[in-house]
Amino acid sequence: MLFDSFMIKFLTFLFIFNSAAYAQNHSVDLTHPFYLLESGQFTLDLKGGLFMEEFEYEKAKVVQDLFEYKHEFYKLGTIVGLPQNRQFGIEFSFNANGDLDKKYAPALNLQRQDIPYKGFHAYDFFIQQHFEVENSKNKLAFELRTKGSPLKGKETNNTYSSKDFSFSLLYSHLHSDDWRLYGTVHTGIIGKKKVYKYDGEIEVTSPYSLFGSLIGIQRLMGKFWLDLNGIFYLTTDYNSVSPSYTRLTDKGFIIGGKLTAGHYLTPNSIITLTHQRQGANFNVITEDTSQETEFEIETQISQLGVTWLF
Amino acid sequence: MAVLKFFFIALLTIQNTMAVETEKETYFRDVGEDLLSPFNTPAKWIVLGGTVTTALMYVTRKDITYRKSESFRQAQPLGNLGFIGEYIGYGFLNAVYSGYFYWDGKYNNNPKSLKAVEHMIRATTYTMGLTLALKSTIHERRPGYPDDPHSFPSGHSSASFAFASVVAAQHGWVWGGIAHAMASFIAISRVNDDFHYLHDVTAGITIGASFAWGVYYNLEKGNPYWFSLIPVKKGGGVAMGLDF
Repeated sequence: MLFDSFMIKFLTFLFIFNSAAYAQNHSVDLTHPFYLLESGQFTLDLKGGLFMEEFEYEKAKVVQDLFEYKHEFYKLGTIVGLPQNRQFGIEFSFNANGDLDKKYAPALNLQRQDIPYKGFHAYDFFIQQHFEVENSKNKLAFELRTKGSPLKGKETNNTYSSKDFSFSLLYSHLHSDDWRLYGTVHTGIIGKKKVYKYDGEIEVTSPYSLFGSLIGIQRLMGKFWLDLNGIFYLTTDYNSVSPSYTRLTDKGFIIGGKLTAGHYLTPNSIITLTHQRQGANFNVITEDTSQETEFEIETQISQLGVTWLF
Repeated sequence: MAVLKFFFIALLTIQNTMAVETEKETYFRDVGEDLLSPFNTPAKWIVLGGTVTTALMYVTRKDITYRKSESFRQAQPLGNLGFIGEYIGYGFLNAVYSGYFYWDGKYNNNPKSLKAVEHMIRATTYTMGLTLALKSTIHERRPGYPDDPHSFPSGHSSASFAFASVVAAQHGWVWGGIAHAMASFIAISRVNDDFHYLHDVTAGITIGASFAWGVYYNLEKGNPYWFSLIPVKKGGGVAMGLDF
């Protein structure tokens, strides 16, 4: 029911905007994971989909608490080409029909909660510098990125209350015109997060850092392409403190993958369908190691997006 | 730590046995150029990015040194396989590479192979020298073994990324990609098994990669030289002797 409603809204937007796209051929390869726009060009990106995230804390094979976030999301973004092989992009995302389901083990004596949420989720801003390389089949770029929200973090809005900063080295190689290999080396810091909970408590998550890599491969088939990538990051301490519970960890890792199918609608517009899964595991340091303890965050995103180039 | 010291002395001895006379009286300047190569060649961008990365990993680390070597299995990305990284990360890859290409260079008369060996040995020597110096001065305790004060930086990460960067520079990015995958496994294994913090590993990666690429750019400019080792009287240290 939720998904049907989302699809109707999204397809309506798609029909209206695609009918305004014009057929002039530009030199930008929109299949590229980090395409470079010429100065004065810009894109308009519309995305929508379903998001699910699960925070699970398990001790001695008994789930102590399980928080599930589910919502529809909509994103509106643009990338603008600048002189000297630079460009910047900004994207705004919104949550709709969100539901936070909080379950606890009986021994904790805490009541199950079902909290609806919606509203502005986050801004995501980046700037890229592309470098000249000798081989035209290779690309190299540097990216600075920040993500956050100006709103106060609450369980009733699920806004992205931390301020993240990251930088990445982006590279790609086109092999035999049909295959593209690409990747990033990524460093980031996830900022301090403060959430005002529904029951009045405040949960504070300390900043933590991550370092790792993304590796991807694309199969290019004319107007159609497939893209598969995987990520692996190591993280520092993820510590979360509230009056009800404390989670202290000393390290973690994130592993995930994304599959994308894309198609050119016109020479200057593309549609993409993406499915992404990611899991993060953190090493808890406040439990006896004789009891198996697992603290993990699993994320699943399904997304439909359209990009127009102007 | 003793293994690293032995490895470093072995590297200097190997350089001594491969010493080639030259009429250029520029040894101090050439050694100095190699030592500065992470800063005055394009490798400086590796140093910049790596230093910022290491700083970001360090500032969010909480000052906790806890029980000996105990991570929950689910929080170990490599599970129980971290020991593989520990064994091969002691310079084994660097040694095997050097041995193979030295044999190829000498017995198959292949000057490119000898150049590759020179690159590997120089890069690994400077990498291990700086790594040992930092371990001996900074004295950070290991996360899972707090009695051992040689956590910063990770010698396994620095040696393995020196190896991977030399392979990429000498043989291209297909072989370089495989070498970097092996080096990444070794580096991850150090965090997996609680021998190092993440900032130790990123610092080691920075040192190994920056010296390997810095020496590569110096070699491309044409600065071939060798320096030789002279044993000291008491036998407890390392001295460097130069031919004039």
